Amino acid sequence: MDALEVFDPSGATEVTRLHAPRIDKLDGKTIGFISNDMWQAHRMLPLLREWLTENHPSATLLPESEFPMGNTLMDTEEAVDQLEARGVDAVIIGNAS
Amino acid sequence: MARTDFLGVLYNGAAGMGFDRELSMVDFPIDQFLVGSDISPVAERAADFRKGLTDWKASATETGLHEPPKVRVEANGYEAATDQMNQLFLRNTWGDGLPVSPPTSERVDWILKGTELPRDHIIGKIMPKGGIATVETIAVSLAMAGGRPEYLPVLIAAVDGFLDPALEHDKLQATSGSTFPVIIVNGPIAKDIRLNSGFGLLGPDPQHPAGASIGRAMRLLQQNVGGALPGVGTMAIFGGMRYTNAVFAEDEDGLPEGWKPVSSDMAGKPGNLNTVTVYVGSSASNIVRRGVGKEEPMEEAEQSLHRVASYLGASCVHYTSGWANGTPGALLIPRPVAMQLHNLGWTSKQAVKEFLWNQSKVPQSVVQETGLKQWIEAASEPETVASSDAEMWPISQSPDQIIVVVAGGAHPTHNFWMQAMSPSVICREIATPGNWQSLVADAELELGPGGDMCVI
Repeated sequence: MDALEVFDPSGATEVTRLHAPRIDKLDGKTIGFISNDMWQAHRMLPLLREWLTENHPSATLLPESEFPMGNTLMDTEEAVDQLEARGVDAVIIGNAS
Repeated sequence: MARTDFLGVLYNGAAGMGFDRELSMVDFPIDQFLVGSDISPVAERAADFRKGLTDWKASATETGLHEPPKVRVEANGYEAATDQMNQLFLRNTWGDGLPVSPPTSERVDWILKGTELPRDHIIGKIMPKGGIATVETIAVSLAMAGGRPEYLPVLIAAVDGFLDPALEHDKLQATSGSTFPVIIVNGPIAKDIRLNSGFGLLGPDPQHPAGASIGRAMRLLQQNVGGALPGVGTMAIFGGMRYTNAVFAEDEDGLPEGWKPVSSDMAGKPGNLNTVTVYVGSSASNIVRRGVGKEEPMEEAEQSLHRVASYLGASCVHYTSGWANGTPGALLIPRPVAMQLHNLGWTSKQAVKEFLWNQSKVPQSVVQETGLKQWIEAASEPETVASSDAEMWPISQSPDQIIVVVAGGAHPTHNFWMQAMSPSVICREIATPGNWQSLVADAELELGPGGDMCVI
């Protein structure tokens, strides 16, 4: 019997941070929208907002137009700062395609 | 909100940002993301978005480092064991379809003779998955790719350059554009490791095995450590030049007087320094540049450069990535052509670049007609956006950004244009270990005399 012991070539990985805890409900919360403005996000995010408005009327919805849009601009500390400044409790991001 | 068959990219992205490989998402098939699509499924599944915000639970509850253990394969005989190892590597998506050499401790230790860096020295994280590329991890991939110790310094420098934040490899690894790293080597090390600069330099070539091996190792790192698995971690629709990437040397002996090597021309490095210059390519075109032989020399030279410029002057969206600070691509010119151009008055690479840059500008009517304008306006850099109204749109902000390489077989018929999607061009010095001459001597013994030869 011959044996080969070889390296796993995928290397090491490191988890350095954990996902944020979920909110308990949407009612009364502020939900921000972030968009890369591609892949029909300009149609899909407003449609989702319509449903949320209808089903969670006490939630405050901040549309994507109020934050930096586009693949580059949305992926910045400035965008995060703006979300925090507006007091959002949760964020919906689109569209990854 | 995500496309179902894009989830692998997104999970990689989460891992690359330091999270576990998971995200709260609502996904849909591709059809919904296309122009004029039926988006009613968004409303039908709207409650799933609510669940994603309120009920989703991450499986990772602690931070920390995960180092995979070694893998043991047992079989009746070495050949059977290597077969089983290769099958296992394919099942685990660690291979590339061709057999790999077993990355045993012995083989990896041998490869590590090519550097004085500690094996646990971290070069960086390869995105989008964010796997950690240590010197040892790099040596493992080079071992798998049939590499040798003297290739390791080039591969380490290339990986270091590829991971430079200015190159934005995270985006280029995941993109649907079929990108690949282009690694151009300058300095005496190219001959030491018998890296090809002549006929068939994009490989493979048994007389010059280094390029294919280094490039294959780089690709294995991109896939295994970086997560760029086709259709899962990289959405490159076609995935060009994937087995070997593009690793070659400049034909420095063929540089006419006044023509600087790429490392000097693009990064201001001293001409005799061992360097890699790295950019991200997205396609390659062979251009017949020679005339039929009845032209006057100047007529042929000018016609050929105009013909090359007409290739460069395409409505190429990828140019917008490197317009401000990167490159539109590299033009490979074989030495007889370089010498001819030099003798006719193009006494520097810069002169060739300026000719090509001026003659490849895209008319505004074409910029608009082809929709290039919207892409220019969507670019990250304000100077690129500001260029969108140019009456004649240049393919880069300045002629300097075009890379000109003297390379290829000594034959005058063709040029080769390696178009880029590259927000920058990175140059790194190659560090060789103190035992370098010994490694080169070993290669001479094991591979036979180096240099260009004809074995037929």
